[in-house]
Amino acid sequence: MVSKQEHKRASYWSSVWRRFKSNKMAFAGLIFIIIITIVAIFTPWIAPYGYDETNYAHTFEKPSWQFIWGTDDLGRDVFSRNLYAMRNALLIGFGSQAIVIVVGVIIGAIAGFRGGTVDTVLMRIVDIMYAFPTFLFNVILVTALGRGIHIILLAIGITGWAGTARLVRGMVMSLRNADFVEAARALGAKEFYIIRKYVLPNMLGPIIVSIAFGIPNAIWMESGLALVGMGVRPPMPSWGNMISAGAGYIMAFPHMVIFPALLFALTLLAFTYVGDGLRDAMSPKGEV
Amino acid sequence: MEELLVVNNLKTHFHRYEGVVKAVDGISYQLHYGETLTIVGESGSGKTVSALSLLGLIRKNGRVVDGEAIFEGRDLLKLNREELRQIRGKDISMVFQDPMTSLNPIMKVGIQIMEPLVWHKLMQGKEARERAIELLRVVGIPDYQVRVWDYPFEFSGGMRQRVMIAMALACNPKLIIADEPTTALDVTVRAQILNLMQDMKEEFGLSIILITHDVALAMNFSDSIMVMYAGKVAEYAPITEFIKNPLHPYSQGLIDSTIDIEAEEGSIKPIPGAPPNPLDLPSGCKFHPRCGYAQDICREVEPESREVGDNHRVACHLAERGET
Repeated sequence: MVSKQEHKRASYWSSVWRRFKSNKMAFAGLIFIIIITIVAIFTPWIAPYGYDETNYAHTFEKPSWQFIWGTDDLGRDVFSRNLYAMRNALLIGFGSQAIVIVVGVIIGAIAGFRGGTVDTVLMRIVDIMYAFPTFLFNVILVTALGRGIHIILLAIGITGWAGTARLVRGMVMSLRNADFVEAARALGAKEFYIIRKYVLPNMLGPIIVSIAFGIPNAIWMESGLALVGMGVRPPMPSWGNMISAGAGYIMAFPHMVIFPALLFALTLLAFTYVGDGLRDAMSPKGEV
Repeated sequence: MEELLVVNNLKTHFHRYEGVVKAVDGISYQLHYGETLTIVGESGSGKTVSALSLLGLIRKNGRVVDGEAIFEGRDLLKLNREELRQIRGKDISMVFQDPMTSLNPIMKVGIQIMEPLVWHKLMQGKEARERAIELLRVVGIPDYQVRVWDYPFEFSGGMRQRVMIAMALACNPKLIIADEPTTALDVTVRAQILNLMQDMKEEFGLSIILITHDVALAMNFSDSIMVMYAGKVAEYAPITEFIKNPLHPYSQGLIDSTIDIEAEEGSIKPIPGAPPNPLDLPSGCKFHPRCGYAQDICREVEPESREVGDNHRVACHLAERGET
């Protein structure tokens, strides 16, 4: 007989983790995200210079030991500004997704569980949100509310929850009448217990995946706003406004564009790979 | 013998856009303690709905419009939701058709077996865990002490159905409703599950309502049989009586269409036609368009269910006259 300690069987999440780890790109992406997140948290202590620390004696400098990624038109350290931009990007990414998840899950769950008129009304609101051009909506919101970083993440969150609400509603509707939910009901489970232990945990996977894909989208959206002058207000750096400011000097001083663009691309790539990896790990096709 | 469950004139109707579907339209039966009743019929004949109606598990657009179901002196159809919930799983449990989808995929089977005990406040913690392990042993899961902490996807179909039976047994119910418990299983596993249910019935003194479309299975397994057609009872009889003397032409058709291992080639006679559209039922006897013996009266007058022998009821004009 095998004792309980010896018997280490894979739980659902540990088998998800095992499959995720075996996906090299996704795992590398996760490591990258963990590193940049730690760096972002400690940016004010790590960055050698402040993001708005100008030094007119050292404008447009190429990378050197003093300024490892060079300086920009006002003599600010590109490396430090990149760190702050990363911090802002992650703040916008995670923050807006937090709003998206809270609003989307609540609206979607209410629509899915209540059904009927409530469902119809909520889903028409979702349709309107969907039909409205997201970028334009963001520009309007930012124009109306201001260009602070919290306003921007709020705007991206407000415009982004419709898809999540639809996803959650669909899952609730199919899970609510799933065979195993019916079986639990037939054996005397209370409705609230069914929601808590049967419906919500089974939705977790797709929601996590949608977060993983939502974060790079939000970062991307901020950069788009920055390009039309609606992103984070300078001198606060974001990859969007650094790239658009540096674009003017790209022939003469490419370091002003290359470093933020590279970091930006790597971050988006990392999140996308992690999202892909999570999706594959959570829906194991062909594994019994 | 005393009666555990008496159902009288149960009617469950579904309101659909196109009209009213009378899924169950006035069925009556009795179930004694320790007895097995099999409900047989084609798809859509109302077998499952008749069972779900008892437990208040009909979807929103359906409603029990009439009838009574006396279970140990209480009318199930008049209980409120909370009272019904307390009966579900505790006094009456269900085993479902598809074991592959009837277990929560992200919960260990042991926890799922414990759940009914906790829901009905019968046991908690360690006691419930031991009970779950014991139940897995009873339903014949090898290595049960280890397997109890596995997830459903680590079990085969037959094993999962054993787990479902363990869940149904957890609270020592008096009645188990098994809704086509073997339909989704391999033929070889089917016999095992049926034997298990038979053993459980004897060991725990259960009564069973078995829902199936397999007449041969019913004849081997049950004490009495109820043949349903288009929401009505075509024939209701003790099983020995049914085997000797099936009176309704539909019952005879069902028996003739089963495969006997000794049957000669070409001796299987399928019932012609298909079950009627529930929104557009034929006049008179619902079975007359498919019935080889149909006469004028069958097309016009709906036959009443009549007692033709000891506990043997048939709804057929001809059976009454002894012509079939």
